[in-house]
Amino acid sequence: MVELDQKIYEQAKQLDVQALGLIYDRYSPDIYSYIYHRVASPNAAEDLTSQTFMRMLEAVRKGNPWRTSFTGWLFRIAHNIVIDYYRRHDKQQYVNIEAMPYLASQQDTPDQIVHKRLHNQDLLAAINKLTEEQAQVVTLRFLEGYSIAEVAQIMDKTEGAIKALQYRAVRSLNRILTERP
Amino acid sequence: MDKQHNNASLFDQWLQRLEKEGLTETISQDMPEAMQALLAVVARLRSVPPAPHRDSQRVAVERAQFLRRADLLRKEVALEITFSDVLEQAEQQLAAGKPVADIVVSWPESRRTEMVSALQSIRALRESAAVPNRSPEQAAQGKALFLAQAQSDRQALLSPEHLASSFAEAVNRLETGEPVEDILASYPAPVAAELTPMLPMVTQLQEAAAVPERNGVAAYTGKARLLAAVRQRQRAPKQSPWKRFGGAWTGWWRQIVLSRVFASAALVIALLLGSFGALSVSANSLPGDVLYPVKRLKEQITLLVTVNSAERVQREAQYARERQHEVEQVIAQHRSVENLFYVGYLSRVSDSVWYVNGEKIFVPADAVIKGVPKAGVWAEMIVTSDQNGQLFLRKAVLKTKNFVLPTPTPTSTLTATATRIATAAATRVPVVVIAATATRTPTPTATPTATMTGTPTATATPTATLTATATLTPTATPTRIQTYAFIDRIREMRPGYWMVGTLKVFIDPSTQIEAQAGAPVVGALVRGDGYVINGQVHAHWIVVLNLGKVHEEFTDHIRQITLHYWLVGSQRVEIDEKTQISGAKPQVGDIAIVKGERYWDDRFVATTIIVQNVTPVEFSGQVESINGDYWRVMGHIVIVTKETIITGAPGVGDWVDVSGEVWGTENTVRASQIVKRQPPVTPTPTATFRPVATATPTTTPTTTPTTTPTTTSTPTTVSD
Repeated sequence: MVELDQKIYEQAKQLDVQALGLIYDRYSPDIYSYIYHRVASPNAAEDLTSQTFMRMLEAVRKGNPWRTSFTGWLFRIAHNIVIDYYRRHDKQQYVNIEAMPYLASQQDTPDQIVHKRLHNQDLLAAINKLTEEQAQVVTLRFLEGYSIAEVAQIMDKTEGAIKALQYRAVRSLNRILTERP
Repeated sequence: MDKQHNNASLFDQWLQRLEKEGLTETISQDMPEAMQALLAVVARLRSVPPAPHRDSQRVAVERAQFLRRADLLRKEVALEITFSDVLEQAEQQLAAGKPVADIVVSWPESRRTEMVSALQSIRALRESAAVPNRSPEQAAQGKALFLAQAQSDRQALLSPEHLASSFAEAVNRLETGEPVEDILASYPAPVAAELTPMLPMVTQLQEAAAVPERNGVAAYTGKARLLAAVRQRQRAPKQSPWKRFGGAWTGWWRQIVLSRVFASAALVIALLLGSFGALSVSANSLPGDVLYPVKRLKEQITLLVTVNSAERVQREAQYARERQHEVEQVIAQHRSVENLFYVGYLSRVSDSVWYVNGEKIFVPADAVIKGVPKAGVWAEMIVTSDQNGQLFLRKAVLKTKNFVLPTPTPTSTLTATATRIATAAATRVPVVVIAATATRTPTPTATPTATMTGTPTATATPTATLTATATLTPTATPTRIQTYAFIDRIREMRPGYWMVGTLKVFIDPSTQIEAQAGAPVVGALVRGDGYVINGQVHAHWIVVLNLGKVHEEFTDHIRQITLHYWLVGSQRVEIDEKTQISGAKPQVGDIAIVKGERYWDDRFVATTIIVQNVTPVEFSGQVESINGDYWRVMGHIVIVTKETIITGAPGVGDWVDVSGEVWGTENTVRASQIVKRQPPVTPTPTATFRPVATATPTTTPTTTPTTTPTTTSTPTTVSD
């Protein structure tokens, strides 16, 4: 995980626009990708990404900025925003098949595309059935490709805890997917 | 626990090995079967494609909005500080008697109006704060009234009825495991003083007379369980209710018991006569209703006068079911009620959400939790319900119960001093009531009679099977009411309904409208959901995503100029009488920095346009970051377009020569060419940013070249 110079984070706490610009450039793609993989809709992901950064500004403005790791703090804001989003929606209901990612391939027939979409839809619906923490670990580890150490930093937990959580999450996911009729 | 830990490590090791070596034949032979299934899930997860490419223009807009907001906040903070400093000085001067006009002179002209109005407000406040003298008679009268009220309040608090209900309530709270100190602290001092000697005694009595897990026993209505419980109760040392209270048979307690005996006699008479008084009316009351305490008191009295222990256990079970039913009703009717008691087994747990009896309970950070929340434990909770039918945890006592089957039937030990939240009345909707009651019919769970033995403590807790239930989704209610989700623009707003896209959405006072981007207007993009009733969508919740217009800024070449619109890049920009045009005299080919509003139908109306002549620049520097089409080279933003010629495949950290034109601001360059070059021998950290010698004189003096010639200015011939 590429971190910016420590000075930049300090300047950002003072609402320095240049530092915040660098922070936006560095983090907005990651945050967007994380949110997108949780909500499976490009539009919602854009909205929620924007909310994440606005909430970050509010926190700084109110004098509650990050203490140790900015990355972890920002991801936690994004995570909470996703939870808020789902609080207002029924999780299962909002898996939107049209917006689902699928493995685009030139050779795919329309039938195959639909099949792949359904396949991924199952997967996302299954992730949404996990506990919040498990869903977060699965997304960060396997969809976003962060290492155990990075996920530990983001979620503010020990590496051991992440390993355990990762195992439980994949086990639960396997059970959910195989239980499916 | 250790096994879990080992499995988790083993899983991680396989994962790493697979990532390193790929799936070879040796690996697949070595791999335990259990791991194969899990790693297949990981492979499936990894096959999910990355997020789609973001629209770079939207990213740029979002970025600009973010930075503008940041800048605004920063200025706000700075302003607040200076403003309060200046105000403090002025206030002192004002207090010293200096006229406002004299004070104002020392301030910058731009801030005068604001400061004068602030000072005038302060002066007005001071004047209004002056208090006229009270007459001694008035003061004396007020005092007498106050004391009389206090006396009558005290009498009301210490009335036998009030003390009886407080005591009954305190005992119930004691049974849920709440500490004596906490209970006493929640009562007014005179009541607490009366309760203080009683509660510890009750604890001792309960311990002495306790039947193991009686609360849980009461929760089971199966005949065998009931009888087993009765047998246990009979084995317990028998004490007459009178003897139990021993030495306390004095003072108010005597009065209460007498009044309870009295009340029970009155109750019997009332029931015999089929009275329609408060007692029978209260039977259908719910937490938060005025008559609810009467209902609870009636239950307490009934329990007190029930001597037969079998009957008593039966009644307790009946009241437990009643509690459960009440909570279901409160949720179904979307009532806001504080201090609702709720019990059940946790079926699924995360940091912020628990599932109990299929209900979702939000766990705020300030909730007081005693015990470790995990799937399978018994939870006795105080929750608040809100008008959306959501439950929020306030307090929870978690217990590991020694029962084989977690049947979600609650015990009778909990009592609710529910207070209805004032705003609830207006928001109750018949629509939702129908919908929710239909889905919340408690499913009678079969209670296996054989499992309950006389010694419940001996039954092992199969925690493994309990945690396994964690993955069960509590939403498995097959008769779910049909809901409808929508997202579109508001085309029309009429009383009682809106047209959202082509959908007619009924709006009523219960519809929760979240003005995320502002109050809803025609054209605004909204997202929401509702219930389908008789084929019509009744909105339950709507969030305003945007107002149908977004502020946008962009910079591009002017391609066409007409009276009502310009073509800037590929965007048709409408010009109206409010559009402010500044800068150079606009000509086709110039650069326009356009700010304006993009409407939902894709019209773009300019508010300001700044016209700049083309200013070619070239500079050298190190690439600091690459984010799509936006590069950062030595602090400058370099925009890369389809026309930009990039040679040498430069990456972050490489040195490049950039040539292009100033794009909007001094800091931004639209590149025509980027060439990778060797880093300078003595790296100079400052970027030289200079217009090309042949450039036409620019109107932006800020781009004045740095005259210090540097080695970087020599054009390199290295092209690859």
